[in-house]
Amino acid sequence: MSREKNSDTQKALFFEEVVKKYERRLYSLAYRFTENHERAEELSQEVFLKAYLALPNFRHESQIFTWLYRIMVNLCIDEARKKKIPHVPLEELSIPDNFDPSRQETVMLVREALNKLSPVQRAYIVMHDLEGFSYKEIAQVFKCPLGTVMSRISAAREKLKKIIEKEYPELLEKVEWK
Amino acid sequence: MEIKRGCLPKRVINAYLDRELSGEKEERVKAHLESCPYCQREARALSATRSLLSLLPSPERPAFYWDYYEKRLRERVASRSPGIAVSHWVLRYAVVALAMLVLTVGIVSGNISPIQLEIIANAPGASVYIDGELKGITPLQVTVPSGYHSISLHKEGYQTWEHGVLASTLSPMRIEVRLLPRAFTENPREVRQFAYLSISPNGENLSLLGSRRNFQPGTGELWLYNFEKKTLTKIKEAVAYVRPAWSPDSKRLAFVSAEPQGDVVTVLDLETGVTRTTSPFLGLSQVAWLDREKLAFIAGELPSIQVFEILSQKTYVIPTAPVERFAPSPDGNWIAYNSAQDGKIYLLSLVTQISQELPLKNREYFALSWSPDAKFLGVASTTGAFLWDFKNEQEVLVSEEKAIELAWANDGRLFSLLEKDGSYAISVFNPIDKRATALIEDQFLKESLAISPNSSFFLFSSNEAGFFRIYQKDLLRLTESPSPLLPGCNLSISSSPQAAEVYLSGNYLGRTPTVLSSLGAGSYEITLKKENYAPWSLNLTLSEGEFKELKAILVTPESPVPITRTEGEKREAVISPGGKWLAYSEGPEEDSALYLVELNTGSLKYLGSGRQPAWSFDGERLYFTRGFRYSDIWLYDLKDGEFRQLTFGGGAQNPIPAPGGGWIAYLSGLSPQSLSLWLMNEDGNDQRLLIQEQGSIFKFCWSPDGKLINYLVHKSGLDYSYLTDLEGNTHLLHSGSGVSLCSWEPGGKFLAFLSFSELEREIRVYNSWNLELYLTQKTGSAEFPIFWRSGKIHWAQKEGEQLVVYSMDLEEGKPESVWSATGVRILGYTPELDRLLISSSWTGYSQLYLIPLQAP
Repeated sequence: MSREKNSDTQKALFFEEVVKKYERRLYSLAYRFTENHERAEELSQEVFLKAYLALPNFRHESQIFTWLYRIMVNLCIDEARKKKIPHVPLEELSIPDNFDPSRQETVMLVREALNKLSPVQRAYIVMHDLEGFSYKEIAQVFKCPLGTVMSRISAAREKLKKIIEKEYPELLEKVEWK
Repeated sequence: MEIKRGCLPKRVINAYLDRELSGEKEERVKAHLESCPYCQREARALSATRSLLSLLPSPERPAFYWDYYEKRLRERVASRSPGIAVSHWVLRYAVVALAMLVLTVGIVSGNISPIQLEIIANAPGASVYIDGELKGITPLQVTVPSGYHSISLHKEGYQTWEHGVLASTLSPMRIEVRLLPRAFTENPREVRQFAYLSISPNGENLSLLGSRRNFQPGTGELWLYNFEKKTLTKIKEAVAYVRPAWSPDSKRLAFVSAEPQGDVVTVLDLETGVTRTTSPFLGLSQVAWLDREKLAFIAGELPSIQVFEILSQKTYVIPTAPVERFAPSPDGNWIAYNSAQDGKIYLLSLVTQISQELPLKNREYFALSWSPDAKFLGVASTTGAFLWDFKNEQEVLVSEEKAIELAWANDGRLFSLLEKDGSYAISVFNPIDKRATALIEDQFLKESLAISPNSSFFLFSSNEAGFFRIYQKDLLRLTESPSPLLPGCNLSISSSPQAAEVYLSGNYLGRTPTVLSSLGAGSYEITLKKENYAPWSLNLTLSEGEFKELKAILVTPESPVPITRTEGEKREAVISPGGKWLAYSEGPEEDSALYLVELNTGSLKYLGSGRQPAWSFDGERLYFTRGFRYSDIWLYDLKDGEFRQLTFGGGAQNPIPAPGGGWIAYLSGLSPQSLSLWLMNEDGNDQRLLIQEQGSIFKFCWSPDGKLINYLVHKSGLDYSYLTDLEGNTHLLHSGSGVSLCSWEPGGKFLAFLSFSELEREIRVYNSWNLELYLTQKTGSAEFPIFWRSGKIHWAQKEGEQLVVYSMDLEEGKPESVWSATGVRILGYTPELDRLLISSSWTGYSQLYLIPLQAP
């Protein structure tokens, strides 16, 4: 009887302290990588499940948040490495009220360009430019020095810039390039 | 875009745009951007890239979605079902057979019945830890309560294996673990990898290319392996990654070498050692013999086939469209090639010089290979492997998988290396009955396929152990697994100067440079002797499969004699408390090697990878850090020569035992930004956190009485120096833009340290008992260490090219120079403080010396 109660308390705490707090951010990261809502849900739930099972052994040497993110980033990078190229069905693209077909095309091209980065480089861009992680947070997730994060973000952006300049020159007109 | 000197690096511009810089740095970058048109342009382009990304829509979900999300997650947690198959990135190099991952019975119902676990490893006698407790060694049968457990296996010479396991009541669990040799950790820089295999037609030798950098762009080394003698010899350095080709009579070997004037095709006569080379070419790829005297190769920016006549040393072009790959027929009269222009495969007659297209389907081809009887041409493409049947003029399907390489056996069978969805297979195809059989199939990257001329075995290079190693598979005993061609350990020894006699544990084995192959794992003593030079010897232990390269520096017996005589940048060095031993680390931090020198005899022992050595107070044990990103603390016991790992799990480093014994203090944290100060007892037990700071603790030392620890932490752009007792009560000593560790006066009255800012440096001396400032002394570019001797404080100061050691009486306050030298770094001093331990590159190699302090 008491064992069940403990397990219930454990579960309740997990959902209040961990899931509710981080579900949207984890989901968001998974979505940015996979560009598929279903897959984002699956991956983020996978991370929570792993976390729940491993929580008793969590050594608190990093914050829970960076720990969860680390698991997620590795899952995403691995997915990308297996060449699961995200297939974005048309209905997935969020359609704003002022639907603009040319903007949709731009979005698709930017997505394509981003997908041409290596999985790790994409992870850096997604985390910083799309999800708003600071360099310090990224360093904690990747367990690397701040300087490394600086160099990698710079290299990923440079590569993206070159991809856009070479393969998607029409995108240059959309923004002030030089 | 042209970058001018003085312009900002791109990473700095990016960091500025991301508002990750602050204070002075930010101001400087801003000021530069305002005045530099180049950097402005770069900043604009980078900004524009970012703004394109902001167009990507955010993954918003309606509010009600999250109730559904949590509901689904709760269901999964309740059932503990893993749901979707998870990618095995944690298990990449381990093969585990687990019974089941379902936990329904165990915790939820409150059933705590024990579960039987059977744990086996490929290396017997591995220590098994369950939930941090040592339970025995493999093979092990143990019972555990049902539920989640963390299991780790440790064995000296192997990488630690660690995994979480859910033990269920539903059936007994058998866990099979494949331990990998420890030599090959994350960055196997010392490991030499081999690929690009080619067996000589007479079956006597194997040519292979070796690389120390995972075959990344650059050059490798050409090696030769003799099958009968089982010897491995390095033929040449600076060889391009093009598979070498044997002449039909097995007497010559052709390869591409990188010479100062450019890449050239080189033909080496193995009997005479004579080489003939072509003039330099761009774009050299692929070499293949047409006959005994003519060698064909691809070269040029518009790649064409060129022929090199060995005797006349003339080279001429064969006129074809640009060529990607080619294969000469066995009789040397035809060349099949695929065109770089249209991707089609052509057959060129060397007699008429006319090419005709082979009616094969349009595919992306990347390998061509003639059958020995010239009846078939094997072609490998991204969409499968095929044969062109010349007689019946038709395509024959060999395999529908992406084919990377093809190799024919002389018995007419075709072997192919295939890839599908991240797994690799080697299969054999019989053109007569058109049957294919898979011989090897796994997820390890493979390269190079070479079949023995008598078709009894084949070789391939596989990344199974984490680095490219050559495996041999016996074709007559197909049920046996492939085994490494170069089993055991290999030791490559060279010296400066060369031609020194090499003795391995007393046995004479030849002269340097040489490679000792197939050594069993274990300890050896290597001695080198050469006339007019002092003997050189080293004790080392080799792990299974390790390929170690040693470069010994021989010295003439005149002073000053270096203590060390191995090649590599010496970084840390500590003398044992009794003054008997010196431990030092060598090489880059991420790939550091640890050595032990007995100072009286000069005998040298290699302790394996390691850094940050520190002696126990009695000088009987050496503590050190092993590993770089995921490091742990180890102990080497000098009495019994045993190694013991003290921490597990990565992130522990910099162990320093307390003077007088008792505790070991160390730093722990999974990133350099978050290191905390920990304590454990001398055997590694009772690990506890002592200090955790907002910034990262980066250095520390003990007070001579072992009651206090002085630690430095970097926060908010400044260095802070604190003292703490063993209960974690701290006292801030000083802060500034740079602070060194304290050095205590032996009588215990004072402690001193360096404080430095951009403009000046000073030594600050404090009373030990009330920690009040006693005096400050401005210095020039003073460096660590500070030490006390005969009641005077000593420090070193850089003055131009020289390093000068000063001493000063605290009462008199007048520094006087006592020693100086150029081109040295002070790493420490002997316990009696009569000699300095310095590192210097006087001989052209970074070496350590003990220099009497009085000498000018």
